[in-house]
Amino acid sequence: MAESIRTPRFDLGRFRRQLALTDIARRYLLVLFITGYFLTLMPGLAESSLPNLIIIGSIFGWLAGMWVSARTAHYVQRLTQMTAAGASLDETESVLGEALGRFTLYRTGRILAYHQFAILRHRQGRFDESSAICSALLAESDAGLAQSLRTTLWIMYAEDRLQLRDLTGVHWAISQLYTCQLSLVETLQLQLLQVRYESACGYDDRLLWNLPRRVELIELMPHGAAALCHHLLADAAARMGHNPLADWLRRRAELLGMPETAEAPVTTEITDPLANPA
Amino acid sequence: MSDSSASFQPPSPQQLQAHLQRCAPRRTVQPRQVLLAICVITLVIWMLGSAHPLLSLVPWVMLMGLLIYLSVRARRQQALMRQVRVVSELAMTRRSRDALRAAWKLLPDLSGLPQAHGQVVTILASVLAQLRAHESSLVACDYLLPHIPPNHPASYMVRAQRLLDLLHIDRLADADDAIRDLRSADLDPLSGAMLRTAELYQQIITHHDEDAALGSDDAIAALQPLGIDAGYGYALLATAFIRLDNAPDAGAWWRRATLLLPSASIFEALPETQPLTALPASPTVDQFLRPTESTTEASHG
Repeated sequence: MAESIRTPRFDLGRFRRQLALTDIARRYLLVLFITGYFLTLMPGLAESSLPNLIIIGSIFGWLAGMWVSARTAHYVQRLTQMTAAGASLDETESVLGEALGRFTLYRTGRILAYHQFAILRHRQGRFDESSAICSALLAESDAGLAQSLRTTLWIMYAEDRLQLRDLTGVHWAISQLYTCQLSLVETLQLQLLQVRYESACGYDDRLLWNLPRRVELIELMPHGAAALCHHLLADAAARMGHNPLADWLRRRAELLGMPETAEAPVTTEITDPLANPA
Repeated sequence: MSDSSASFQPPSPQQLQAHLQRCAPRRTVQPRQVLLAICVITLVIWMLGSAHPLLSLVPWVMLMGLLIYLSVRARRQQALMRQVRVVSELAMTRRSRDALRAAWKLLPDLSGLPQAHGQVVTILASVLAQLRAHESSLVACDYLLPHIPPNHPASYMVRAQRLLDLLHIDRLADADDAIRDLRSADLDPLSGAMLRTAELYQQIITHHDEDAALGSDDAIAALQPLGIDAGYGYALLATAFIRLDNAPDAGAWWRRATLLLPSASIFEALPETQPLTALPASPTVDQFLRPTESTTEASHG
């Protein structure tokens, strides 16, 4: 078995250079094509083969770029499938190394490759690096980053900052998520983040505010996440002196089954249970 | 079928079969095939020596047409995926009738998107079972299974759903085969918990109450992956104990079941649990609401 490629640490400068190269290559080919086209209209050059050569060169350049980009997109797609299937981190890392090292004509392809990089680092528990990648990608949001991807990045960023005990960063990310249009799964992820954030801050009264609605949402989560939320709500209820409620929540948490550790990154484990990836 | 959700009845197995056949995924023309055709036409025109100036415009017009087609197609696919998400969310929030209606109407549009088509049929199977239309749910499961790799987690989920459907429509011999098949598989925790619920249900409907009670020791751990739906399994265990005249254990399992689910939902989904009506249920969150809300509001100020 080939030795897996170790992906180097995230380098913001390299990320920006790669994006700039993508933009330059695309614009250069477009300018080349337009120049060639206008040269054919010029009386002196109409009979010359130079404009045709420029046009054909730019088209071939574009086709070659598309071919290379398709290979990169293939790696990104494979990474997405591997992440969904819970593939081993080593295996994912080797495919990621291939995806990051390849050229692409499209910003989206590059951004999606780095998104997978952030997911991998998140799964590896390297939260500082994962949050740095998320932050860099979110800074590119003006460049046509899809809304769904932005939401995913904010959720992952919030989770990373929570793991790093940077509650200001979590608050910032949560406030950004409130400006996004969220799907139900994303709403559940936000709910879990918020419960953990409010618990970490000691906002017991906020944790118990609108409790029936909160419990309703928590019930839609996978059992580990639901148990963790119940446990944190039970602690808040106990601190507030609502002992029967605390007891009720704790008994539910026990039935739902606590995750192995309360520090586990469970937010990204919330997925659509009816999605059929086959 | 009527358009209104309230009067939208679950389809019969024959109706569903016909609908699935009508809406089966079909092969669509791939952009790379069109691009190849454009390249070939361009080459032919080039070799002919572009006798007419308008002829040299043909490849460009075709390329523009392809780009417009691709952009329209991508937008349409995005819109369809949003609708699939809405259907999925309706199913997740147990609005089964709305989910069924939306999935039924959406399915014909998904014939060009095989993966989304499979997802919506999975949702159909799930909501049909929630609406107790188990024969139709079975049709959906049987339709899905040949399209999923046998060792894929989604295949186990569908097979577990199919097993529950078989039990609900009293096809016990087929259910036995399905249980044997699933027991021999390397199941993920969720499918394993679904299998355990199915086994419990089988024991209850065949009056093997002792067997059900004997397996109660590890039931909590085994059913946990189902989340609050584990409550159905606990209710089945309570039924087994009450039939065995073991009121304390029946009461304990019933309290666990109703701690997770409202008793009305359990009785509706599992009529076999009717003997438990006399047992006291656990309180719901609403019973704690008044003191909590008042304190919270006071502290909010």
